[in-house]
Amino acid sequence: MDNWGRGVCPFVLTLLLVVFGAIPFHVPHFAPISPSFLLIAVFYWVLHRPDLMPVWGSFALAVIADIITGGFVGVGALVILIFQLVVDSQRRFLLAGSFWVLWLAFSILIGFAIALEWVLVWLLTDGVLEYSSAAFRVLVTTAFYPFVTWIFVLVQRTVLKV
Amino acid sequence: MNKRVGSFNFAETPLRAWLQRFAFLILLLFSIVLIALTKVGNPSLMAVRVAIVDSVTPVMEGLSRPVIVFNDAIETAQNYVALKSENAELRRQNEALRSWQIAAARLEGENEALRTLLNMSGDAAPRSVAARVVADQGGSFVRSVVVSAGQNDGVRKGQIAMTGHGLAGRVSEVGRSSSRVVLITDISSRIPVLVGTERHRAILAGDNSPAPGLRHLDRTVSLRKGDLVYTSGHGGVFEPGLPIGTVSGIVNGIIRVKPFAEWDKMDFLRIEDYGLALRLDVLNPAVERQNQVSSAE
Repeated sequence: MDNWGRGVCPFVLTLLLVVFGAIPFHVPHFAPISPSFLLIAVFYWVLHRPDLMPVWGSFALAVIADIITGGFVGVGALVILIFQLVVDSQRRFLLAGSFWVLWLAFSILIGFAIALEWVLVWLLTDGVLEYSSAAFRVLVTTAFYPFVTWIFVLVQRTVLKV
Repeated sequence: MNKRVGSFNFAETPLRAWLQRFAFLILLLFSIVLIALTKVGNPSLMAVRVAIVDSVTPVMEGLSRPVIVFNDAIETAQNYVALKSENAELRRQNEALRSWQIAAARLEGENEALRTLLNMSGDAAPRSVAARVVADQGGSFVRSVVVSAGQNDGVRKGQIAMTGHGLAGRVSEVGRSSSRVVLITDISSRIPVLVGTERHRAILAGDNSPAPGLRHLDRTVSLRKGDLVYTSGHGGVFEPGLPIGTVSGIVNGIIRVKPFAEWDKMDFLRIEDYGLALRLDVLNPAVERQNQVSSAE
């Protein structure tokens, strides 16, 4: 695989995960609380290979995710930009910590990210927006973090190996 | 020093370096513009949305195949396990339905006779298209699905989506080979309905929860758990008499309706055309002309 192919690997992998996350699994009550693979991907790549997840890449992925899920186009993108900015600013601190610290930090940061998304959608829609599925989504995304991260580690150690 | 594998180098020209530096700010502003365009329903953005969903639909169909096979295998295994008890339950239901069949046949005949007496025209059967659900309800904030049928299959904006049991939603966006259906549980969904045998008028309002609530219901009416909720046809968006669900109870002071549609088992949707879709897009001059022609006829 050439250099360019390796370079776009995280983007393509995340795009596939975003599309995969949208397909119906027919698991009772799962769809509204399905994990945000995009938040996991941006968190991982910004920490470990920020050069492979530039800000325009995560922006494009977020816009595509907004379009596939039928949400407000731009809301997810705005949230992911702020999320990426915060993760990038804490990069040194986060990389110095253990996996458990990373996991805890991830759960806190996505808590804020999904809460911000909820507020934005609430401001843009009429009526009272239900919040429990957003809260459960934080928990489910946190639970999926180690598994998705394991895939990314595998890709980083094989495809992106120097 | 060796360059890292796969890394991009954007600082090749002053313009690229500038873009890199201000990318965050530019994209932040761009996302705000996108939100504003979505809010006002910008047609160009809608066209881009539809085109992207159209192009992603085959990928989603391909990715969902293993999931379908896996779910089918589990369902088959479950069916074998529950065969005996299910058979007994079906026999009992069959007996109960037999009496309902007789009552329905009697009412159908009575209805037909009364229609003839009043010289009313009969209900024409809608043209329908069956479509596979390829994208599930999107996350925590939207209750909509993407189906694998579009303009090429005769699907138009505003058409009605039904499951085998009841109303699921309405077509909101149509591509060439895919369409988006906004479900009745979505926060933007408002459907004029009739409730119970006394036909109390109300509005079924979605709030993203699995059981939408009844609004604008006369305070003096009394409803019972299990009362049937169906479309009233007021406003002309939905055909009257489409089954939606039953009254399930009161939660936080709101009367909730349990839809007949089972969201977790929604493999296919039946997109039905009652010819009502044209009335929706009154701001579109072409549609307005078409409406005028059909009303003149």
